[in-house]
Amino acid sequence: MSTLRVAWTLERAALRGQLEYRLNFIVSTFMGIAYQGSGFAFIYVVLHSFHTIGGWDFSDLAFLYSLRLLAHACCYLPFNQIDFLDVTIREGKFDRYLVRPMNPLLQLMTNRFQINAVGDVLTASALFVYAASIAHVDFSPLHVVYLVLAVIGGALAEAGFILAVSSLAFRFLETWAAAFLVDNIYLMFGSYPIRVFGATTAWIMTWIIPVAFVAYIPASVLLERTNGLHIANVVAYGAPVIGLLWFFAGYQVWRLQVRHYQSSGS
Amino acid sequence: MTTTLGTTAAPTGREPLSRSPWRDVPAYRQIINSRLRTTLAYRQNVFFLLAILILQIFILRKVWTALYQGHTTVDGLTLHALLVYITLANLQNWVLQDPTISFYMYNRVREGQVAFDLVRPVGFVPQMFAHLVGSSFATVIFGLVALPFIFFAGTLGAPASPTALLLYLASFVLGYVITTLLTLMLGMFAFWTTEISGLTMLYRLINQFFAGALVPVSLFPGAIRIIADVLPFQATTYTPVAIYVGRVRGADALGALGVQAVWVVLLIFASWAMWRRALHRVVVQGG
Repeated sequence: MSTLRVAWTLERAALRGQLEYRLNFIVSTFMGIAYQGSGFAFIYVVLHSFHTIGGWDFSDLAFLYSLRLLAHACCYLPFNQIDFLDVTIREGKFDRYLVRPMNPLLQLMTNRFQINAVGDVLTASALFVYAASIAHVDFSPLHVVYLVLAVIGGALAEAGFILAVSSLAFRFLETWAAAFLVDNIYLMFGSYPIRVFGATTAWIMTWIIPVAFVAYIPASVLLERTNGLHIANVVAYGAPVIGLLWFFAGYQVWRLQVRHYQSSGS
Repeated sequence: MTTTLGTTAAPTGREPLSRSPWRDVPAYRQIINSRLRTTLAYRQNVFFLLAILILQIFILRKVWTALYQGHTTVDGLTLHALLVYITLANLQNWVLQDPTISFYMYNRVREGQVAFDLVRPVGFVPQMFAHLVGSSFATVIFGLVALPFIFFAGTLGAPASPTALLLYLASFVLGYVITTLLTLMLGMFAFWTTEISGLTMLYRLINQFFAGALVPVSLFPGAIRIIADVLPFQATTYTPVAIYVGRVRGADALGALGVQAVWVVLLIFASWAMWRRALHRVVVQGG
């Protein structure tokens, strides 16, 4: 518990540090909004001329998109520094994390604060409020509990996979492009009903890269569209658990890869 | 110590009259060549960026195919023509965009090396143009390598007619000039701000959307269509590719080429004005 308190203090200090640069704060927040909003702009524009994608109408797609954004924001808020793991390793700065009495991953996470995460949270919250008001979702207590768990599970599914890919930096030193690819896969495949990509891709995006568990499967449950799913209903209701399992798997990969760390030699 | 370079200390294109314009060609060739080789040498990450391009084309093909269910022609485009449009627009947009040059300019300014660039006999702006051309050669090579994968991920097809092909080529060249001028102006922001990564990312997103790489500009609804029309981005991608697939043809195509030409002239003036101001802002640290 005291570790978490120290981590929280460090995280607050990192955030305060970034708030010093006001213009950059505004630009980065705006960038976060533009980055996450641009995919939604596509959906908005195409549904102006067409009415459904794979049987999902605008309100369904808005709900799916906002759910993915919420999960992504919950993942990116604590994990944004993973993007800088490869630079940290290349410059030998990971040495510090290893000699301090705290989990190196927590130290990396709280090292700095990537300010566009704030833009992600703002976009996600605004879009979710909007989508929830137009989508046909019954917000019964059971559904609300499932929703909260699914968002956390989705964040963990994304974080676990990104953690596993980023830890390859301990061996290959430069992995930002690979991490960028993973980020794009979540952004691009996660925003649509996965079935439109065909059975093979849907299977890959469910069982190889856990994209479907982030938003598509939970959204199908909440919109009562489970009969259109490519997996069993039991698995769909258990989506949060699968996210948790992925995070454990990602953390194990991280622990295995940390052992390959070689300092920069200078 | 801080030195401020005024216009007198920097070559501003006022060379002696006797100097032949061809004299600098070997210098440009050298910059183009070294930039090409640098980009090819750092190819490890390019494959991931190409993978993103290929996936994006694949996703757009699947999504557009799902959208077209129950429609044969939308806005004068069959599904096949639309998929050719999407594939070509994304490929072309990827090949022509090079964010590394604006980062290069930013680093030169931030680390003060821009002082060396400014005292070289060849002007700074032509040097950056040469860098851009060099990296375009490299991205064209990468694009060609990716072509077989793009063939499977997307839909490649012949141009609507031989005339469409000729007009496409002319429009493509104009689009390339516009893209280059925009990239140059983006890089010049380095003279005003100390951080351009956010700006570059924002530019990339706005450009991709308003250039019509995801949705043809002709399908934009009302207000968004007006915004797209007053921005230069549609002239880089939408215009040439819409001509290629036959969405824009005949007198409309010639009119579109005219609009592109106007953008070229406007952006030359804008970048020239921006450069005049940038020069007065050069502050070199240290020394």
